[in-house]
Order: sequence, then C-alpha cells, then structure tokens
Amino acid sequence: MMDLSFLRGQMAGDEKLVARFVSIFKTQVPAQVSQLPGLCENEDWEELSSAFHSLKTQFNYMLMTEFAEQMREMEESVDNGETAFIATRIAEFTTKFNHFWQNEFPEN
Amino acid sequence: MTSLLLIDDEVQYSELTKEYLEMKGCNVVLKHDGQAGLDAFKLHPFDLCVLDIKMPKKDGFTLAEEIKEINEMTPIIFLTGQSLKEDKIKGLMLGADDYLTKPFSMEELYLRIKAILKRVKVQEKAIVIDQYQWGNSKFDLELRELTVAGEKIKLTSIESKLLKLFCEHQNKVLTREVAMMGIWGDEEHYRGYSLNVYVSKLRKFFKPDPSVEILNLHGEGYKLVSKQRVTS
Repeated sequence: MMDLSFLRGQMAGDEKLVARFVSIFKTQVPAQVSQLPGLCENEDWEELSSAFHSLKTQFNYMLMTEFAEQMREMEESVDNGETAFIATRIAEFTTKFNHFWQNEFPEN
Repeated sequence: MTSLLLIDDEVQYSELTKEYLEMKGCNVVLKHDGQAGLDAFKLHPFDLCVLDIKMPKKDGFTLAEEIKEINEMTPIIFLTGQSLKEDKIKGLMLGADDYLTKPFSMEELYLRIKAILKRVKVQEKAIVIDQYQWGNSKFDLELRELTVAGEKIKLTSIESKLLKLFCEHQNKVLTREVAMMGIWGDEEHYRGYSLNVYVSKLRKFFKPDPSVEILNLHGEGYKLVSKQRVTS
C-alpha cells in the first residue's frame, strides 16, 4: 500500500489534488522507469539525469525513500560524469522497481 | 489579483500547483521550459516568478539572471529538487527572494509568495519616490518633467497627477474612478471625457519609447505597462 500521508500534507489536504497526483504518478513513473535503460544505452546523459531527477521527486512525495535515494545517487553520478556502472545500477533498480510495482498494482 | 509566472518542466504535476494557486486567487501563467518562461516574461508583467532550477533549454539560474536584467524588482522563488547547499547559495546570490526544496508543500509555497509580496509592498511604500524611470523615459515628479528618448516635456499639473497615478499603479489596472478621484477629487460623469484626452496626451508623449505603453482595459480603466522599470 502506498503511504499517502506525506502527499496529503503537501497538497494541503485537498483530496482531489491528492487523487490527481496519484493518478499521474501511476501513469508517469512506470513509463519513465522503462525509458531509463534506453537513455543509458544512447548515452543521453542529460535526459537520463532529468529522468532520475523527476523520479526522485515523485518517489519522495510517496515516501518511497529507498527508491528516491537510488535516484539521487544515480543522478549525481551522471551529473559528475561517472557513468561506467550506471547501466548495471539501472538494471538492478528496474528489476526491484518492477517487482514492487507488480505487487503494489497487480491490475496493471 | 496577484499575477505569477510559474516555470516547471514537470508538465503534469505543475498543473496541480497552478490550480492550487489559482484556487487561492492568483492568476498563474505556466510554462515548461526556461526559454518559454523568458518569452512569457517579456510579454507580460508579473508580480512574482516561481522557477524550477533543473529545466531544459535554460536552467532556473540563467533564467533568473535574464529576468533580473529585464526587471530587477521582480521577486523570484526557486524550486529545487537538489538539496546541495551551493545551489541554494548561488540562487540567493542572484537575488532570489526565497527557495523551496522539492517535494514542497503547496500551502507553504502560497504563504511564501504572500509574505514576499507583502514585504515588497512595504518596501515600495517606504521609499519616497519622486522620480520614475523606464527604458528611454524618465519622469521627475517634483519638476513635473517627462523625458522621453532624450527630449524633455514639461507637464501640466493634471498630466503630472495622472502620470504619477500611472506610476503608482504600474503594470496594474488604474480604474477610471481612481484616476478621476486622484486628479479632480470627484468622479463626475463629465470628467470621463477629460480623462480620455489626458490619457491620449500621455500616450503621445511616450510614443518615441516602445518600452512604455498605456493600455485600454475595456470597462475597467487603463494600465501603464513597462518592460523595464526602475524607480528611485
């Protein structure tokens, strides 16, 4: 179950905004995650960094701190030009994320 | 109504921020990259800008510098996903009035906007202004003298009062009622025609300076719009 307590606070308790945020999250996040390996393969570091950046914020809103921290670390690595192991890290993250997502939203 | 320019590349989520601020009574223009934001800023005056830092085409820091070059008075709040200290310092050094780290609270953003605008208002009131300056124009209230593109124009008492009112309402609506009360102390119907004449005269004076424009707002009044305001 997703913990929406933090999100509710950030949305000033407006349930409509919370519901819309969750809906965007559920559509946008898996799509962004699925793009990570391709961006890495194409060495599109700028886009890859932006994707990590965006995912980091979204995970933070949902209190998914472990994922958020991984995004932060990978974003920092890419920004610093440390890309040697990024493909492996993306693969590890993607596996973990997909497993989590399937458990959380089996209907998708 | 407070007019805000919000620039954030998170296309869908920023719509939520826009809606929240609009629910609070703000008028929000939303753009998703730095260049589009700058273009919007050049076209319309805004009371405050909220800028994301990491954006395509033009990052928030560069954009802030360019906004300040156009109008150094415009308050800026940065939204940053980065918690690096040096980022914050760099932003504040550029004249940003505040920053919020993502994920931020909508309410906190709104309260900070309100606080900054209140502070700006107090500061503006505290300054005794007797000179106004735009791109190629300068107005000396005490001398009742308007200089446009190097040419000095001596204003009549009424022209001077009207221009002062425009300066005080710069980039905001100056209603016909407020203008008439400010000039003549009443808002009798027949004053309306005279007001039109004086507005036309001021427009004519400003003609050589394209950075200053007096707009007609149908049913409301007028608005003096300047892209480069400097008051002293």
